Amino acid sequence: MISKRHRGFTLIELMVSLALFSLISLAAYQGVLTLIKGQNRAVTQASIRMVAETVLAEVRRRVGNTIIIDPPEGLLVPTDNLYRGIAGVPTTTTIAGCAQQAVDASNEKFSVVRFTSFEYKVGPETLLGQWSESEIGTPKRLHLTTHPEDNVPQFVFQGPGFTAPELYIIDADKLSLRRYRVAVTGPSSAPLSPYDIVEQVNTDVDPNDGVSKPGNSYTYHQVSLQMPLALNGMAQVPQVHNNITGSFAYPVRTFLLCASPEGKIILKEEVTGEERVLMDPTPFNVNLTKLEFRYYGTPPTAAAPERLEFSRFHLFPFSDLNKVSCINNFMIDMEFTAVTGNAKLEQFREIIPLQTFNTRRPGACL
Amino acid sequence: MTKVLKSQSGMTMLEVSAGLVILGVLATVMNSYLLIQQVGSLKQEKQTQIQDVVMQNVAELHGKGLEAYPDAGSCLTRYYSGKGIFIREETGANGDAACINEVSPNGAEIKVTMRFRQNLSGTMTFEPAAFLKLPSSDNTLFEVEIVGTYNPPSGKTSAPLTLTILKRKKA
Repeated sequence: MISKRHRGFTLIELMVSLALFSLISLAAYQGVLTLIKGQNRAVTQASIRMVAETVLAEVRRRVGNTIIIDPPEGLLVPTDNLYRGIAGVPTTTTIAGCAQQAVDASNEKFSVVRFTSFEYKVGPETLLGQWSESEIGTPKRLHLTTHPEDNVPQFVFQGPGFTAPELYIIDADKLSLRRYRVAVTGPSSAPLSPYDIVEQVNTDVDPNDGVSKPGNSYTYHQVSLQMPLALNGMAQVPQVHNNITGSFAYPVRTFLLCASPEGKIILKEEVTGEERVLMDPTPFNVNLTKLEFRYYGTPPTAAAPERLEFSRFHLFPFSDLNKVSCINNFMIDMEFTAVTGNAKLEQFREIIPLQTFNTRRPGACL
Repeated sequence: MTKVLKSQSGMTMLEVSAGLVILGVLATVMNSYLLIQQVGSLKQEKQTQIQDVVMQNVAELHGKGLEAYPDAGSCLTRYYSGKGIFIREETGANGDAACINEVSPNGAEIKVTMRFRQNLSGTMTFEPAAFLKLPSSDNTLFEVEIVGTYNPPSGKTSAPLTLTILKRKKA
C-alpha cells in the first residue's frame, strides 16, 4: 500500500507552491533591486559630492579673492555702472558658450557671473610715480617696484616672463580701486613681447620723472596699461583721477563662470579666452539642472537686524542700489538630477564672503 | 511493491527549520544593509543641514559691523528645525547654561551657539604672517566661536561643528 504522502504532489499543491515561490522570488528580486539601486545611488552621490567639492573649492578660491571695487564700472556697456568687481550677467544678454535661463522673476535655472579675482601671490608692487588714467587714449606706461631675485617668489611679478592680463591699482590714499588691461605693446617704445608684458628694466631713466640721468641706474618693472573692457567689448571711459606714488598694483584676472549648453560647469578667462571645464557631470549619469548665483548685502544697522538665510540672497544684477555698496556675500547653488527618472540627487549651496576694498568702510552699510 | 525513495519522504522538521533560519538571516542582512544606508543618508543630510545653518550665521557675522554685534561676553543661541528652518533665538552670557550646553533640550533641533569674546590679539598667530599686518594693540580683534549641533530623540547622531571666526574692529 502506498501512503498518501508517498503519492507525489497534486496539481493544486504544485500551483500553490509555485505561487508561493513566485511571491517570495518577487519579494527577493525587489529587495535586491532596491539594494542595487540604493548602492548605485550612494556611489553616484559620493562621486558627485567629491567632484562638486573640487568645483566649490575652485570657485571659493577664485570668488573668495574677489573684492568689491569702487567706483563701479559698466558691466554690459561702459556707463551702466553694474560691475563692482563681481556682477551677474542678465539672462537677457547672450554670452557665447554659456547657458542662461530664468525660471521666473525670482529664480534662475542657469546664471552667469563675471568676477575679477586677485592672483594668488603674496605682496603687491607699488607705483614709482604718480599715474593718471585720464590720459589713457593709447596704452600708457606704468613703473613699478622690483625686488632682488631671491625675494621674487614673495611678490606679484615673478621676474621676466610673468604675464598678467589685468591689474588692479589701489590708490594709496584708498580713494579708489580701478581695473586696467595690460597692453601687449607700449606707446612710445619698441613693442614688448607678449611674454614680457610686465618687464623688468635696468635703465638710467628715473621712473619718478621720466628724465634720463646718466651715471644713475634704476631697476624697476614697467607695464603698459589700457582701460578695461565691458562685456560688449567697449573700453571703459577714463576718469580724472591720480593714483599717487606708493599706490599698490595687483595682477588680476576676470572670469565668467557659467554652465555650458551641454551642462558642464565652465570657467572662462575673459581677456585670454582660456576656458576650463570645472565639471562634466555626464560620466556620472547625472544632469546639472541648476547653477544659480546670488549676492547679499547687509542692510544698514539703523534698519531692523536681519537674520541671514539662503532665501535673503538676491538675484543679480544689482537691483537694490542701496545695497550695492555693502555687498559682502556671494552664493552658488548647484543641483544635480539623475539622467533616468529625473530624481533630484544632490544640491550644493555655498556662501563665499566678499571683501570691500576700502578698509575704512565697514562691511555693513553704514 | 512500490519502492519509496528517500527524496519522496518529505522534509524533516530540522530541514524546514534550517531553511527558515537561512531565509531569516538573509532577510535580516538585507534589511540591515538597507537600514544602514538610510541611516547613513540621514546622517549625511543632517550634517549638511548643520553646515548650511552654521554657514548662514558665519556669513551674517561677516557682513555685520562690529557695532551690530552683541557685547563681548555675550552668547547668542539660535534654534532651527531638523530641516534648517529658524525657530527662535536667545541672548545671554557666555556662562549661561543655555550657552554651555551646546545641545538643544528640545530634541530634534539644530542648535547654533555663538560665543563672543574680545582682547585676543596677543594670542593669535597666522601663516603667512608677512602681509597680514595684525594690530599689536588689544581691543581690536573680536573672536566668535560658533558651534552647531543636532540632537535627535535617540540622542545618537549629534554632529557638532565648531569654528572660530575673527573680526577686526575698525579703527
